[in-house]
Amino acid sequence: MIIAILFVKAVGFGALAGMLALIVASLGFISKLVAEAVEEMSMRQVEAVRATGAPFLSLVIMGVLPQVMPRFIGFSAYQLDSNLRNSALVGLVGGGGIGATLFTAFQRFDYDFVLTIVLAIIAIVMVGEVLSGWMRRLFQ
Amino acid sequence: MSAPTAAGPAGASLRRWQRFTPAERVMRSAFYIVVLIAIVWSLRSIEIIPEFLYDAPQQTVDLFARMWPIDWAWYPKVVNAALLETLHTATLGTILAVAMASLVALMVARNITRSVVLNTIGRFILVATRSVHAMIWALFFVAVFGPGALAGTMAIALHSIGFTGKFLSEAIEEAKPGPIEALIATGASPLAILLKGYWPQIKPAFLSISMFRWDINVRESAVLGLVGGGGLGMALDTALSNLYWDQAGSGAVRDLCGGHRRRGRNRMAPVADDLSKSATPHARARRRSGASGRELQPDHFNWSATLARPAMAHFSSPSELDPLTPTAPIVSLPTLIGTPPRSAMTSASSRWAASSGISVVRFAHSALVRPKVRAV
Repeated sequence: MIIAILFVKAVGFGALAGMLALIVASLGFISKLVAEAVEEMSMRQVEAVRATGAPFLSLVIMGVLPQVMPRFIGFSAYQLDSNLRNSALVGLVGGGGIGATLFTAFQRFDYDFVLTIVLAIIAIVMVGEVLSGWMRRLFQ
Repeated sequence: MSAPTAAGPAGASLRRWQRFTPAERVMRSAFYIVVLIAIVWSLRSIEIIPEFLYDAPQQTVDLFARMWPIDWAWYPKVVNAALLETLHTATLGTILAVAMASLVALMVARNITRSVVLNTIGRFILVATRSVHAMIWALFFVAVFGPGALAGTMAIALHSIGFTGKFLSEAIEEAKPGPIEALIATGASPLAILLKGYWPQIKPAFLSISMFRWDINVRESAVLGLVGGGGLGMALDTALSNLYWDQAGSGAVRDLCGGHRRRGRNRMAPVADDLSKSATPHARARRRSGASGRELQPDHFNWSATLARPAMAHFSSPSELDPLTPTAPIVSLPTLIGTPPRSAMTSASSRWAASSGISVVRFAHSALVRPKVRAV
């Protein structure tokens, strides 16, 4: 939220500012969890790939990525979920999107319109939950 | 992902090993295609205005230059009280949330409530409260209770129900049936079973969930003030609205002094340009009102807070809270955008906080009934 305000100042009103704010906010979360996943994985496969004389990039792609991919997708799905919620929020401070529409409707006391928007947000969050569940099952 | 590798003796029938079944591979390819489509679609629908990007570094440097030095002088005057209010909002909200969530959790837990209908209703309450963000709840409660810490507390409480209730109900469902059955065998009443059978088992989880939620709520209540929920966010909003970034840095509010005024004037032109370039209807409305305002009140229009307020600036009422902060002047005659709904006529006359800020959308009626508007 605070980050969103800073980005609105930096790049102006609009969806770009909201997007950048969400990126920054998600960055720490995802990278922390992925780092933990990487630390927990088994080193055997990495050593096997290294034994073939593979360069670092292949090491990551062949040895590390297959092991952490399911969890990586899991975190991404979770973050997608929470970003769906938060993206409605950054609109309030000028980050564009449905939050901006919601805010305008509130300013106009157009409460029936507000209810429509809120229900739409709930619906999209629920669809997002179904989607992220599908994503997680696909890669488990 | 699929890694076909040839295994088996050369010359014999070549066996192909594959990690995934064909159906899985199709689903995965579909997933990647969907992700690609989503990315392209998002990029196309997000308006990126290159002019705004070019001067982003300057804007950022400007922001931090004005944030420094931090304006500590206002900490004891404004920030301290706001901080306390924020903490109290979070605490009270959490207590309310935990109280309500306990009831919903009992309703959701399948080993306590054996009715599928009640379980489903409870689950729906949990999901619905969780998916509406505290900020949006705050908007509702500001409309109901008026701006202030009460609205913030209720918003925090309702938003936390989902989270707390979900984890509580899981904790209840995980409770071991042994002690419960022993209690039932003694002929204990349902209340006794709850207090002596379930409570000791879920107590650690209950406490840790509550503390965790309190932690989250402190963070959330800090920004609730932006929409009128009271506390630190309100002070932050006032500072931001007036473009006092150094105060935003310390979270303080300060009255206008000459130096700030001059600096604000210099910066007015680029901000106004930004707004007029922006293509959202909101900004277009601002531009319209701004253009007419420039001719009407040139002096006040120079004041930095006039146009370049963040979108939510109306919701807090800085002039009532801090009499030293001057009310932003009205820069335009009533501008009607579309037809105002019926509800607007009545609501604007009640206690909505929109009166203190400058509003883009001004309804002809509301100007008559609002006593707080200062004529300029």
